[in-house]
Amino acid sequence: MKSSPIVHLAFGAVVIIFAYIAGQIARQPLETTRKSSSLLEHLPIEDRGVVNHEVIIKFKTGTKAASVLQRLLPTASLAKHYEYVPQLSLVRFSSNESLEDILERYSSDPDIEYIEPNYSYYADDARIPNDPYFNRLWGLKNTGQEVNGKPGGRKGADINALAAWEISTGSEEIVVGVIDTGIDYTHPDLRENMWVNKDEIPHNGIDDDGNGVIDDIHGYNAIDDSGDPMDDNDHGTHCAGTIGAVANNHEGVVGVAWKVKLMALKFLSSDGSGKLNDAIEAIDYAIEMKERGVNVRILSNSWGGSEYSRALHDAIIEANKAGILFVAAAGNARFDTDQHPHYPSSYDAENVLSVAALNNKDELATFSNYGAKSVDVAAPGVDIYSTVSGGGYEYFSGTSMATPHVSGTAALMLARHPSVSPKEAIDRLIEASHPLAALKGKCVSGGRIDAFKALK
Amino acid sequence: MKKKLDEQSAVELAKADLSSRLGISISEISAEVKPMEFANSCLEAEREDEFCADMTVRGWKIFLSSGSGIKHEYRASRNQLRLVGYQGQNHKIYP
Repeated sequence: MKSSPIVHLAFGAVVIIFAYIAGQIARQPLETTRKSSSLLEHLPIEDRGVVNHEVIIKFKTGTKAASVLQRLLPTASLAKHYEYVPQLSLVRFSSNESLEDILERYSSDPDIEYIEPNYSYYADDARIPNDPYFNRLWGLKNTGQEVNGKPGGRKGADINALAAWEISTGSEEIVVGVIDTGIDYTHPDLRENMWVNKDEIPHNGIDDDGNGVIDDIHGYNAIDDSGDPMDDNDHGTHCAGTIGAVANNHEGVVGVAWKVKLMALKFLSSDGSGKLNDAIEAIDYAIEMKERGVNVRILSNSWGGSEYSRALHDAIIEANKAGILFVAAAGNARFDTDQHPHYPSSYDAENVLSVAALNNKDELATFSNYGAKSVDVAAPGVDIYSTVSGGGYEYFSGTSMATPHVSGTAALMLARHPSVSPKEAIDRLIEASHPLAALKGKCVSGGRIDAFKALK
Repeated sequence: MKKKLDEQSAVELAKADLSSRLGISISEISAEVKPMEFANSCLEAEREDEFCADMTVRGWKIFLSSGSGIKHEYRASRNQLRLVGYQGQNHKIYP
């Protein structure tokens, strides 16, 4: 098979990285195993892909790798000796052993100078989509770039999307319902990823599938009980773009999930406000379509209010019974929602995942609600660039914008692990979060969502 | 699609609304405008049982005064105009 120039570039990058590491080792011989540990701190295992069941070991001068290995890890094998880096070996170990345990146990062995995971390195450029505004999407890839005319943030303060896309870019089998102001389903960066109701013939004025809604091709409008959920505000289109704007189309932005289907469920009006009965109707439509065989797995909810409604609570519980994850914005009132609930994010239901907002410095957004018990995770939500109605793009801020980052991540995760329940999905997303000092005591996970870790 | 508001058209709409409510002439009403960033799409002036999009919205607080000396607070963005706390309630004026 003929190799492409990209493969050569990627290979070259890997070689350069290894050469760099080797150079560092040569220049800075690590005298103690403590230094080996500090090296790991700079390359945290959870932030890097690692090659399964492999470690790199530098044995102390004067020791024999094979005999040390026989003493420490008799089931392991020496896969490679490096000719020009003395005493350095690649070691393969049994699948029964845990990488963490091996690093812990042997980093202080007197015959080992250091031991590291066999990290996977990638040439980042190979994973960056060709969408021209990708550099504005700090929530997906934060290089410390200037955003919306403001100074850059903290490099790496993002959802780790590039690493996640190495594992999955999503699936067209996953349908995400965006309960909002509608979606501009004609937007060139969205239309390819819009859900299409195959049982409905467009514009024939007939309810072909018999679900009570005429010509519901891309979703449902609960305000006028019609099949046209066109966005007349921008908010829903913006959220939809963050979840699943089309990737690699040389157009605008890219969503967290490249492959996904977006169902527009309009209940917020042109001014961005909506009524309880319409919210319930939107959820009801999604459940009905799920029961009719449409694989609605996630409802993304970038809205809320302070009034508790038993009826809305019940609707969300019914969505859970249908296997639908309900991702909801924590709200923008700067409140502790453990004390001052924000609904629907504060409903006590297994499938509700409440989302706070972060800025590009990994700080809780000044407007964001929080709650040690009632908010689950945080995600980028300040100066988020995405699609708006009429084919355009704008920066918006809010827990509204953090929520679709999580919905998109959940879509990736469900594409990879389709059998997990809403509760299991929430547990995975919480466990996979990247801990942040700023979020300690502010949400259940104490961390920022990490798409890569969520997919593992 | 509804007409988008700017600062001037929002103030005019607010004055017309207050004039009608109080039964006074628009010329008797003076306005003071303060640019704002509101925390939600209801301009932090939601009506009872109303849900709002959780995004920040740029707009204006418009304080209107009449001869009585009482100030009435309106809030506006490019999409809407609201009257805050009038007779104990928030009201959506436009659209």
